[in-house]
Amino acid sequence: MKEKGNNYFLGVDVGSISTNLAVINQTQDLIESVYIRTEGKPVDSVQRGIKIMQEKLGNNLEITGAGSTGSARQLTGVIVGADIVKNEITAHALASLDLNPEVQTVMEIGGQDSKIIIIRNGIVVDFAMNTVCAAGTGSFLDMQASRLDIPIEDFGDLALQSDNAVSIAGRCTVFAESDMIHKQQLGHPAKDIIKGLCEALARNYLNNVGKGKDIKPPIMFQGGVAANAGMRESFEKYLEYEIMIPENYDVMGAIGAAILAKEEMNKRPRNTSFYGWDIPEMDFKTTGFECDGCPNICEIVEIRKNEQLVARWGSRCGKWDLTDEEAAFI
Amino acid sequence: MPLGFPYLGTFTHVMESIARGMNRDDLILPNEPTYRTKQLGSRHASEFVCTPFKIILGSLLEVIERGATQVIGTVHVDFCRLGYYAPLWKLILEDLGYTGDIICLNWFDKPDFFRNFKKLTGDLNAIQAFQAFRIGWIKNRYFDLVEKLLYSYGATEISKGSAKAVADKLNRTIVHTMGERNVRKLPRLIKETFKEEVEVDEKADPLKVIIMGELYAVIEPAINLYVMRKLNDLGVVAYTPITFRRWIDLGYRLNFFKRKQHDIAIKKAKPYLGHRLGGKARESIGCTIYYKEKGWDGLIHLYPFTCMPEIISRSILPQVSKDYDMPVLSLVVDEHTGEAGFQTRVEAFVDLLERKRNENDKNKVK
Repeated sequence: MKEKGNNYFLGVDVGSISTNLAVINQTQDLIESVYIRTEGKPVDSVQRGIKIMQEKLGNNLEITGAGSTGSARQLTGVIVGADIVKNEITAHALASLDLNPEVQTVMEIGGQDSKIIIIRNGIVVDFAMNTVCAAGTGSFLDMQASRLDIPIEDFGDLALQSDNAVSIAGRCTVFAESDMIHKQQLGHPAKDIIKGLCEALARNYLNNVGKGKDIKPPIMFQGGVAANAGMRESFEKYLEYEIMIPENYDVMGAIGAAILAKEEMNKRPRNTSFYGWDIPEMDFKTTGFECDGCPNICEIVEIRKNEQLVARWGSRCGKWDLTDEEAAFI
Repeated sequence: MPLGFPYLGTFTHVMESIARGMNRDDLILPNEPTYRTKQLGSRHASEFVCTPFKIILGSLLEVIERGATQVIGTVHVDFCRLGYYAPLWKLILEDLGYTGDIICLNWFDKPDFFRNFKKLTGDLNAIQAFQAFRIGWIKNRYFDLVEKLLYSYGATEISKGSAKAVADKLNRTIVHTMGERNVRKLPRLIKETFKEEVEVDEKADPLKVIIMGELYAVIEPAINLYVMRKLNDLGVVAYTPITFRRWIDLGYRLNFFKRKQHDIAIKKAKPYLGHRLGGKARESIGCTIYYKEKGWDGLIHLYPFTCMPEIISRSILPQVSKDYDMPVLSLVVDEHTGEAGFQTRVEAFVDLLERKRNENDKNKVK
């Protein structure tokens, strides 16, 4: 599959709920993407994701640059040998701008985080993320879906069938859940409750994350929760604008990471540090221990690739960071 | 009676200097707040109180545990619950069976402050005690200078951690310098030591970010998850105008010829917030404007979860930010140790500032 003069870039986005991979080419077209669940084991899921990606692409495709993002970006960077490790806000903004250079607002709701990114003239001018609480994010929807025994994939469509949303408190998931149970015990049908929940979450998002932000169209809505048609409809109801959902809404972070890798390699051309397609066969071990040097009791994590130490972090004082010699050895 | 006091950023050094100046050698020095400090504090404090309260309580409990029988709790009367900090600490410590002294230094009742302060001195008379206090406030200026240089050299240092090592060393030197003439020579020493011992990347043109917000959240790195060091690691100069200096530095306060930075800030905040609310609400707003005019790139606004005054200023800040084109990032701090989210926000903010600056440069060329 390797074409002469064509370069391919890999982006890996490991979040709390899902692990996404994307491969783009020189002109930033998406070649292939993978979306799997993290299931609490980021190392495993990255290896699994790369294996699936390799099966989809075949062995011969050569990666010229790799980038990682998401809340596990540091760990992922070590596992795949990323050339650039960047935060997910920049990654999402870049991916949206690549798709539609006109975009002015990006809403992203993932597993633990929800963010809003305000873009003007192709530049991120403002952003916000949920503060201390994860109310209204994907993991809560996930939890409620499994409590009601509805597959999360059908959740949104069920909401669309209702035309009578019940009122549900959206500020706090604990309040929301007790409201939902109360309504359910009164005999309201599940679809009305779900629609009510979607509206409550949309309200919460706009008043909490989107507080004081100038939301202008075109608006792009991405992240795992964008799959939920009920959420989209609720946002359209409150914002009174049409909301675009990109075709690859679930892997936008990974696409952004791949674009970042491409920018990085163009800026500072070098050989990629990507480990190659045999990552699934490599043996990664993470061990943790508590340092008892001071009452901080830092939790130190060590990552070994095929028994060789590749990273260690977690200490406040820097005592356990890799020494220059160790780093040079890698 | 061994004397103890809670840990509070660089103010710890000021307290130590004053105590040493008063011939107190029986000091129990607090350690930097650790995980254990946080746990101790939240175990014994009310659940909904602000984080700084918990951490300082934990720090007090730790010095008491190590044998202090006389502790200092500062009273800072303010328009929010900050004013109740010391009385509450007193009640909690008494409930826990602490029988030693708790000395509340109430700065807003000056005679009472000096009466209590006198209790802390060993054998000094009132004038000598005041002189010790005066040396303390002068030293506070120099601790602030070290802090300022630390976070500006830290951004461009070549060997990571060298600025921090120099700062630690200098802080010890300042504490142990005695006699007013020697103390007055310190600023030169500080500047020269930094210049000589920290190797910096001369070509770098780092971004500059102001840190504002609630007093304790800003000055205690353990509460704000070392946000200034994080910025330095990203190659950004950080600076905070908030220190204890403006209260205890009488020489500065009574100098009518100097325009005080916080007075200017409060004046600038007037169109947005005209009342005193407690905390640093007005200053946070004023500083956004003030530092924009001075050419800084952005402002990070810190406040502890449930802090009333800063929640108000947080709601006003987006408007100020829009009016003056000054990027502002509001961050909530609490007991959490999960720094991933914090790191993401700070990194993304720095990215935003960088892209903004590049764009401005491009426009200039045109």
